[in-house]
Parts: sequence; structure tokens; C-alpha cells
Amino acid sequence: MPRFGTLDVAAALADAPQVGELTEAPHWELPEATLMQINWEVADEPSLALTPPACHPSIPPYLSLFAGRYPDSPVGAFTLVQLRLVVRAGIRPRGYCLGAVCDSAEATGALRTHWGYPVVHGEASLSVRHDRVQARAAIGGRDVVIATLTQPETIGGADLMPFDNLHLVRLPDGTGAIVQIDPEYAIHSADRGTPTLVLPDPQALGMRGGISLDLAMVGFTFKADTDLAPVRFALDPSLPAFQGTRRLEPKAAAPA
Amino acid sequence: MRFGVFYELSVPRPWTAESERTVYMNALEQVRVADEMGFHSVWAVEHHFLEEYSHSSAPELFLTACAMQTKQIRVGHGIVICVPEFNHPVKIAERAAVLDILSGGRLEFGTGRSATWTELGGFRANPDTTKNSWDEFVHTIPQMWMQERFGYEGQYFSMPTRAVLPKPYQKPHPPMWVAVSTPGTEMDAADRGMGALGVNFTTFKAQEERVQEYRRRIQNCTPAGAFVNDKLAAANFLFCHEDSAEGVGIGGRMIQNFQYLAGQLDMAKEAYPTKGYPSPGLLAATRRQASSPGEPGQPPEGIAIGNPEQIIRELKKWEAVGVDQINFLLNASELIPQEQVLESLRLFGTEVMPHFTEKN
Repeated sequence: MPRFGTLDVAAALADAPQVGELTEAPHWELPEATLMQINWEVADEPSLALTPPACHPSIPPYLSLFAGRYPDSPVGAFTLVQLRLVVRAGIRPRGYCLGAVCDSAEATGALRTHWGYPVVHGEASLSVRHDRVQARAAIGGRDVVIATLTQPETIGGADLMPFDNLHLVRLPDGTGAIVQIDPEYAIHSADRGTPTLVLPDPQALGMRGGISLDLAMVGFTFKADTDLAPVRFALDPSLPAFQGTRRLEPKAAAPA
Repeated sequence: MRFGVFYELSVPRPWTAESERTVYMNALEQVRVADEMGFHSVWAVEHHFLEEYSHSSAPELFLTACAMQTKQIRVGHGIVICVPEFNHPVKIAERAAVLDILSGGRLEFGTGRSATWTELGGFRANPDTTKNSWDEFVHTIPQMWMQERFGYEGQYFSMPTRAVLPKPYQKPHPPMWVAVSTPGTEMDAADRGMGALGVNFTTFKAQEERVQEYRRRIQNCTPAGAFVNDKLAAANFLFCHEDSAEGVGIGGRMIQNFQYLAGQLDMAKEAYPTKGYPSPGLLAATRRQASSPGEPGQPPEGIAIGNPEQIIRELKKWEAVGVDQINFLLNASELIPQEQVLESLRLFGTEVMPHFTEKN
């Protein structure tokens, strides 16, 4: 049996977002988004301690920096920069979100409440130049991540496999859960390039335990229409995903 | 129809000082029984760094041990990784020739290029170019075997003229194969006059279309080696038991366990977007079928688990679609006790194999 994560769930829940009724979340259409992902291998032991017991670590463990600029949403334009640890829920690869920064206070509130993003309001940007794409996030004026993709070359959208997210949350009934966020992507164009990743303050993005960046893997950027739909799946953080996953059913309308 | 056994050599945690040795010794004992029962071949993968899933990183050594303990069974690389960061082509040619000599000309030479980020990244190989290097290797290695001296200026390796020694025992050289884990690679095999060595677990319906196209394409091939090997092999699982429910139950758990481990692999496409791996390969089929490590669902069609009658019925379907050979995985993570694996092999050999025409 593959190893399971050793995250102290009770301790982690203290800082986890408090969500509302998940199945009553809105459905956000997010057209014409610009997105960037950078994958980077990290050391084994510290990452195991950040992986929930519901999940297996990936082999090898790696971080996935995921940044998105969403020009059109129900709360207006916003940019979201997330740091994720790639894990496996059962056999499916997922980005377990360690921390995130969003440049819109309204979006930050909605992302925490409806989808459980461990996100804080700060400065976040995703800038596209001819020869590079750069994501940057800062909290209180201090940089926490600078991720750059250089030498972009066009690739096919079908060559990409964006991961769904997992978020550790506190549910309205006070219990903890991991929820899955599974956006759809209609990809219009994609480029792959050489990544660089600088994390001046990794703890600010939930990277506790001294994770060290090991091997640069790849960076890619793409333009897509995407969305955020109500959560459909929740996992018990302490049970293997193949035992502790449940489908969330929207509440039936009250009889007239 | 002929039959083989193949090995990933999976080693379940917790690992002890004896874990890997036990897996290897059990496999060798199974190969001796397979030889006695008349199986055609034993195949071993080359994998690196794939925790629990496969600890078969030096297949030429395992296959040499197999050859030294058996009389008839052929020994197959399933496969050697033809990527320069993993293996220099001269070393591949040399090691294969030694194995062919020691086995008395029983080598089947399977080739491939790796499909996981875990391995490709581990050797810092470029996923974009593995198919190119594989192509260069499979065209040059036969020349190393057949020419007294060989020199080459290529894209992925170059060398001054040298005598690559020893030469294989089989003349002009051993049969060559290509591992097929993604749809379309059968056609690469056909175009080069090589056998298609299925290493994923597909349905016979999907296989039927591929068989037809392979047979059509290989008629007009330009062989990479000195001759055409027009054989198609499929991978399968085997657990044969007198009692149908026992066979399906135990075999089903083995399949689920294997697929769960396979599902943990970081496939190249998943971690590194590239045209070099246009589909997730083994992963896609595995994820469709696996849900948990130990809960057997309905056995997929064409799988050789159950009692002898059930297995004969399923294998006849493979025979009908034109597959020449089926290679069986016998265990996963040592889930099935060794004695039951051996009983399954013996029962298959006595009750199932006589129903298939070609002498194995």
C-alpha cells in the first residue's frame, strides 16, 4: 500500500477556511482567463508532513504553483496565486492547496466561503510579456512568491492536464473536510517554457516544515474559459480517499 | 496462441531486509514452474524509482537468473529503455548479446522509452525526444550485432568504429519487439517490422482493431533489424482455480491492487505537457478500472481469472481477434501466497494450455 500523508489534521483545521453550505455555492463562469502552472520537485519528508492522511504523496513529491488572472467574474476582475502540493486522492492526482493570495477583497471572501480556498487578500498579479509570463504575490507589501516562465513555445491544449484542487475546510457543522474543486477548462491556446520559482516567505503560503525546492520540472501557461461550480465531492481528511469520499447532493427545494 | 509470464516485481511496504529477496526468489520459482508447464517466455520490465510498483531495475540480471534455472522458456526484455540518459545503446547491445549467449539463444529483445515523470525526471531525460532516441537505437543496435565493427554519427549518440562484443547467439539477431502502452505505438512497431508487445490491459474489442491495422501495416514495413517479427502480444492477469468464485475473487483483488499501484505513477504527460506522450497511456485504462486497492469489482472482459473453463473461454476470444501471445502477470504486491500462485500456474498448464494449438 502506498504511503499516506502525515499532516496533523486537527492542528491544520485551526487555520482552515470556514465554509458556508457548499452545495448552495454559486456557479461562476470565468471566461478568458490567463493561467500559469509551474511544477517543481521538492524534498520527500517535509512534503509528507503537509499531505493529509486521506491522500498519498506523489512520487516524487512536487509543488504546483498555479496562478490565474480572471478578467470577468461575478465579483469583477481578480488575480489568484496559489501554491499547491501535488498528492493523490486514491489514484487521482490533485493539487492540495497550501495557501493562496488574491488581489480582490470581495473575491477573497467568496473563494474562502464558497470553495474553501485558503486564500488571503493581498497583492497578486499575472503579467504576460512577449518573452515571459510572471506571477507575483505579496502580503502586506512583502513578496511571498515570484514565479516566472521564460522562452514560451506553443504547445497543444490537449497536451495539458490541469489538476483539480483539494482544500481543507471547516464545515458549518464544525467538522473538518477536504473538498474537491474541479473547474472545467475550454483551452484556447497554450505555451510551455522554462520555469523559475522564488519563495521569499514560504510559510506565508502554508509551506511549513522547511520544504526545499529540488528539481525544476516545467512551466506552462494557457488561456481558457473556466469556471467554479458548487463542490460535488468531500473527503474525510483522516480516512483514505477510497473510503472517505462522499458526493454532496444539492438540498432538495422545500415543498410548495 | 502461446503464453508467457511477465514481471514488474512489485514489493509492498513495509520493506524489510528480506522483502525484495523474497519477491525475486518467488518469481524465479514461478519461472521454473512456467518452464516445466511449457510456457513460451518470461518477460521482465525495466523500471526505476517506482516505489512498490516495480523494483525491476536490472532486468538483464533477473532474466539471466531465469535462463540459468530453466531449459526451454525464452527470456524477454519487456522492455529495455532506449533513452541515452538511461542506457547507452552499446551497453544495451552488449548486455543483450551476453544474455542471448548464456540462455542458449533464448532472448526476445523488447524495446521502449519509459512513460513516467518519476523515471524520465530521475534521469533528467527530455520527454520530448524519447521516441526519437528509441527510433535511433532500434535501427542501430541490430547493426552493432551484425557488423563486425560499428561506427556511427547520430543525433542521440555517436561513436567511432569499434567491435561491439560479444555478438548474440541467435543469428542474425534476437527477435525485436516494441512495448505498446499508448494507442498508436503498434503502428510504430508495424512500420519497423517489430513485434508489438502489449504492456497495458485493454479489452479484446479494442485490441481487434489494432491487430487488423498492425497486420495491414507490417506488410509494407521497412524492418529496423534483419528480419520481420510479426507477432502481437497482449498483457493479461492470470489466476486459475478449480473454484470459479475463488478464482475470480482472488484474481480480482490482485487486479485491483495492481491497478491501484499503477495509478500512483506520475505519468509523463501528467507532470510535463509534451507532444512526446500524446495520451496518458497505461494510466487512462488503469484509472477507469481502479477504485480502491482491494475491492474487486466485476472482472473486465478477457481477463484470465476464474476456473479453467472460464479462462479458456476468455482466451479463445483473444485468439479469435488474432493475438499471437498473451503474457500474464501472476501476482501483485505478493497479495497471493506463493503456493497459490504456483498451483494456479500448474492448473493453467494442465487444464488450459492444451486447448490452444501452438506448442508453447
